[in-house]
Amino acid sequence: MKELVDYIVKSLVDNPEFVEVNETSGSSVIILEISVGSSDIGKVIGKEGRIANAIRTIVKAAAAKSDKKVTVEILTNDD
Amino acid sequence: MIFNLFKSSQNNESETISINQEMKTDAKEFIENILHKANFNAIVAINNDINDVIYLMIEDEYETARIIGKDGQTLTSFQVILQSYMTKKYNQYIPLFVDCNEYFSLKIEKAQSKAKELEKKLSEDRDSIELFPMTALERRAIHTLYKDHDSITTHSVGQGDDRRIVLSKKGA
Repeated sequence: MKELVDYIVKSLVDNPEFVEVNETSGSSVIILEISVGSSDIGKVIGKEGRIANAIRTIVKAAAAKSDKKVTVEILTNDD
Repeated sequence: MIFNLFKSSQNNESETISINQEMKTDAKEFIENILHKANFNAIVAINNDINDVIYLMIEDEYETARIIGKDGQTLTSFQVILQSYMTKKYNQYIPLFVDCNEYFSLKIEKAQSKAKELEKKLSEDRDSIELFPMTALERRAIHTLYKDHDSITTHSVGQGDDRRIVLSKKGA
């Protein structure tokens, strides 16, 4: 799942080197945290969250096989 | 016919975008990579019948429902991500359309034929007729169908999931 999100996000931003995806996996949940450079945050969220929601929808479709609930969070990498 | 739906109306007068084979292959590979990383075994074909829209067809036998999603939401998401990727990479808006096993194409045809059917109900004493709620894509298909019509015009009413088309007689 991490690889999928990593691929999508890196293809959308200007600074792929600042992209980091962390996957935390529990017995029934997976949490994916995306952090990107602050100048790229808009590229990942999109107008009215269109891109962020599209990423979530694709991730959910991919996760449907595994019966786990997946949450996708977007963080800014300010440091 | 359906391809007209995916061209931006703002681009009509500006120079036409030239879509080359490299762009088409790039788009195809991008969607294929996403599908494979999401563990789908589907293949992606390029429809070369049209040259000014990138038209990708996801072909799948077993997991169609999950690739399409509820009301086509997953399929639309692939298109949203692809649009953003292509716009960034080629620095211009590139019209594109992602379908899976003709899901959207059939939906568009169905919406248009429904409108054609109801159009007959417009008569002397009936100036307008309301259709049932439809998705943005279906509504757009109907608006496009009547764009240059002599006597019928279209608009939408309602909000969100309840948004629907109204067919009305011109000048009525």
